Amino acid sequence: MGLVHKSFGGRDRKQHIHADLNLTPMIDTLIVLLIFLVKSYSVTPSYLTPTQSIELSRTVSKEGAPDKPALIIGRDGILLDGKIIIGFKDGVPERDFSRDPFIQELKDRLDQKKGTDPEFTGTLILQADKSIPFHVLRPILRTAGVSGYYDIKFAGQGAE
Amino acid sequence: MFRKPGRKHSGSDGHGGLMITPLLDMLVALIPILILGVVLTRINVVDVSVSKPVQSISKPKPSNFDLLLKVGTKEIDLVLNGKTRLKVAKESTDSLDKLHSEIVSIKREFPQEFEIKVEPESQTALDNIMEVIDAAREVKNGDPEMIRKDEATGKDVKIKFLFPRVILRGVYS
Repeated sequence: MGLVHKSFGGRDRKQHIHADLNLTPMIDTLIVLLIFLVKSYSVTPSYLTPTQSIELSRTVSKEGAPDKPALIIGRDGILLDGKIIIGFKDGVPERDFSRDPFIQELKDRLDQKKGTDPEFTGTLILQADKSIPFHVLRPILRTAGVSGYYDIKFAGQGAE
Repeated sequence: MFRKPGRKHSGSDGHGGLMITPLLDMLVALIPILILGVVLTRINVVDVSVSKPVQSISKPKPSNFDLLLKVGTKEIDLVLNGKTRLKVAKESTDSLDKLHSEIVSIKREFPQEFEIKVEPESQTALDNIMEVIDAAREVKNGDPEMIRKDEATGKDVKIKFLFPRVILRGVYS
């Protein structure tokens, strides 16, 4: 509904009509939409936000990422909870751990994570760059297995 | 005597309103960014199991079904019960389609089986492993309709996944 102001003055009874657009419903709608979108962002686990250092594989899987610990393996290194555990130089690990039974630093962190997680189910999300070869992944998966994380979920970008 | 209403605090039309234009501009700019962000950054997951590192005391049940996918850098081998069912060159454009068709035909033979083992070579990139897992797990649009008997209810149910239980082999070797 627009506001109408009538001013009467002078002999000729000049009439000024100001019809303003009422924007209140539109602003209400926009704010509700904004809250909904921000909420949907907060529901998605924050650690699964794609990082610039990694390019995920595409997948046709429709299963969404659960709210579980995520291990990021990018060109910069192996990250858990956003902190670098082992650094990489040009996409190659600084230390060769391919022959180790497991990666000690990673095992310590995963054990710590497992100990503090009351809802531990053995699920670990692996967010790795699509170019990473299996021989780099193998010791990481082995360490996850030794720590009790047997259910690995490879993160990928939704195909649609 | 009386002071005229100041122009600073009121509009030219004589009534002071809250300037909501910047707020509107911000909202209109922010909403498309958030909508696009939600759509583009959707991350899905593919479930893969890693076998436990300890030797089981009890022997596993003998099974007449053992499906293995060997993912090499040049070839993909599909092995059923120790015999190669399909060998495709990875470079060919329809390798994944051929692989998927063969997996569909195996699923039609063994509709009650859900497990597939995937054994990548050392140099195989994660992208190739994911492609192969997708081909082995998901039912595509053009696939023939497949039915299996539900063990709990005994009723026929439509198959939605081919081999969803993926076990990654070669992790401890």
